[in-house]
Amino acid sequence: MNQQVTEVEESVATQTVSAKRHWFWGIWKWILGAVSCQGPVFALNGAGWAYRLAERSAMKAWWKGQSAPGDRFREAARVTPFLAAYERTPNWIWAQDRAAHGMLMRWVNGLLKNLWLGFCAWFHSLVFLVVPSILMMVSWYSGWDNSFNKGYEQFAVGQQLGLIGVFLMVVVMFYLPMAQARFAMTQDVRSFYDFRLNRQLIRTQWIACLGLVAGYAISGLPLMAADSLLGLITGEKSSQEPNALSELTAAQALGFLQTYFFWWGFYVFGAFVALRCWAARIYARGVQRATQQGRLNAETLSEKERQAIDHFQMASRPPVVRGRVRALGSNVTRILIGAVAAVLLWLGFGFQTHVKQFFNYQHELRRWSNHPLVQIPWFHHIPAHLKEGKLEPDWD
Amino acid sequence: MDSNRTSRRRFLQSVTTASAGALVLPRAEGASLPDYRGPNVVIVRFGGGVRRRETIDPEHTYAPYLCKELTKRGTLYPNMVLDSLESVETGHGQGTLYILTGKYAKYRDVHGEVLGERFEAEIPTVFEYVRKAYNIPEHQTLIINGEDRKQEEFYSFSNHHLFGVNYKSEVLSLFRYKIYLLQQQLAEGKWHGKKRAEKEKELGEMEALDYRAKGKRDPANVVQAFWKKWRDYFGENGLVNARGDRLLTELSLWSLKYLRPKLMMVNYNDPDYVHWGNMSHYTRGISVIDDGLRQLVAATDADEHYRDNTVFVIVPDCGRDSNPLISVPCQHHFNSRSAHEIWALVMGPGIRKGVVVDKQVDQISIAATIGQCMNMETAYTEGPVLEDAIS
Repeated sequence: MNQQVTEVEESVATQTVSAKRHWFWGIWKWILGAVSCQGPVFALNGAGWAYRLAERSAMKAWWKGQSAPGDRFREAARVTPFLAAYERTPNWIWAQDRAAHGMLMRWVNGLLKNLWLGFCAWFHSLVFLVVPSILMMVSWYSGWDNSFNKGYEQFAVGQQLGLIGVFLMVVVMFYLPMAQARFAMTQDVRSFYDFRLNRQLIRTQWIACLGLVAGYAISGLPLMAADSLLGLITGEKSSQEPNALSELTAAQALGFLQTYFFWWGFYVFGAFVALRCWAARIYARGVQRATQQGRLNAETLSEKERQAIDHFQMASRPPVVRGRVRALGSNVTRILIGAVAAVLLWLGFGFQTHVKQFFNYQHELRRWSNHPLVQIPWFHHIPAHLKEGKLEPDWD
Repeated sequence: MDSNRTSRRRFLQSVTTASAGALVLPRAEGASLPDYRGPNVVIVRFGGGVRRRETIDPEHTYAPYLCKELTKRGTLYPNMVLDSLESVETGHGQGTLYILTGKYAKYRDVHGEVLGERFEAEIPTVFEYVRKAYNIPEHQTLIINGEDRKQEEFYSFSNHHLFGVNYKSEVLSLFRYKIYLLQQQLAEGKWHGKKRAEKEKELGEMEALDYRAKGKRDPANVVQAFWKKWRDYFGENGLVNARGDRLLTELSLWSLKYLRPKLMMVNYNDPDYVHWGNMSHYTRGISVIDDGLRQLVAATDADEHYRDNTVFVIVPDCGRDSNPLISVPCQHHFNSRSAHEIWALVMGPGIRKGVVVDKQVDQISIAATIGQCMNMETAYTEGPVLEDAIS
């Protein structure tokens, strides 16, 4: 009896230590994530790490589909060779399995992997977004240039380029999060271009995808506020209460912005990771459902996906009945409702960039070519004049 | 058929309104008022919100004519401010009304729109003071307004019960030209049927914007003749005449030539385009205004009627932020200290030349100073006269 009590106590104590350690490393990795938002190379590293964590999330989602209630993924991963690589969250710098690498690589394998995955994800996301981004960028610039110079003969140029750019962005964003999620699992850039398979997964999970779109639109709002706020915060209420922020020296302003963006880094990185993991779970459920319904062609899947399907025996489980979805009406109605809602949400997301650009103008290329929640979580805009120790830029 | 019915209705409406107006509203023009014999005054709103740095700072100026030539001809107040009272906002509409009325007030859009700037002053504008004091016709007190800020068309008079619409100034702008053009084109029978009805509706909507003056004052024949000349010269499509602040300069030059204003305000505004982030719009806008100033001063110098008899008051409507935290520090004017910091240059007969008065003065002093120059009482202004400028 006493021995049983002791075993339970030891087990509880082990779990408590494990939970504390889990929280400690979680917070430490989040701090590193916030730091990674402060520069483009760091952000590539952070993005790569987020994709590796998304891969783990997808694996966990599949494992959950066949686990018993109360089972813990970490414990299962510890004893299952197929899942062994996913026991812990990815490392930022060190190799995940240090024993498997040579002297040098065991210390930097994680970093290199993060950087490479981050770069691939950034580059191939940009391939999709480059045209709408350029159109919106040219629209913003030439639209106001035309307006300023009263070139009414060409006034439609800026306006129409902008509308086409926003429309293309909406189309791309229907597709891109699923392509990114699949890339997280396969870590093969060709996943970005498996149009048929990715579209099939989106169709299988269209309501969840709609939720994800809402997630992007809503989590973009604080970012919009954070960016726009900088354009507003030097205002004064009265001469009796001068605003200290408008009296800063260049060094103080630089320090203020570095602190400001560091703290916002926690949000940006958190949102970036949350959206990646959410998308990964949607992807995982999509693969599972499509497999159960016999709609996936195994030849179009990557080796890793095929192994997962086999390991979790997805094909042998009964398909899920989609009762609640059917309640929304016929296929046509559902597609229409979903499409309209998604278009509106993505338009809202695109609108946020325009609002930010109005309140706090950033260099055109930088502003339009990278959204911190879509490509890389780079959220650190220190004006060049502050870096040079000046309060004002030299315009000449 | 449609057009006849509409014309009859419009005719009856105008007769009724005119009769009522004649009974109820006293006219400003009266034989008892003295003719004005003082200096002409040109107020140049160096508008769109500009900072001292890019205008009167010789090292950074984009307005060299203003900064390096005009300052020698008058008194510069480099330390003028919009007072930092809680209710004093650093907007273009507000700043313009502070200049015109000589009093800070909290303005709200009359239609309650969140970002609307259709304000109505509660105390008289300098136009009303001068027209109540002297026998000056409406068309010789002018606001020259741009096409981007239509709401400022209607700052030509206040709601004050002793002043108001009968002492209003005339407004020249593309908006007014479009009204004139539509009226003429309808009278000439350019459109028929449905198209005509659409155009009549469009005209009705444009006229309705000036609801306080609609039916109470008709443009003088001389103003109609002015627009006729404009139409003959620039045509109807709007693509021949200058646009933006260059248009304001053109309209001002035409006014000096054909309408001979005694008091004129030019509402420049192009630098405000920097709200969209393109810094070159700001610096270019300042240069455009500077060039406009050069042309206006040259025109008055060349005209015997205006030469040595015209006071220029050049003043921004508001400043702009100097926000070090963003890439374009002067992108906005969100009530920061810098947005309250402006300047003023006064020059002309009776004004000291080459003087810089470095003490802090208020934007609301402009109206009283104009009153002093034009020898008229400005009873409701709150800012003191800029005495240091008066020789």
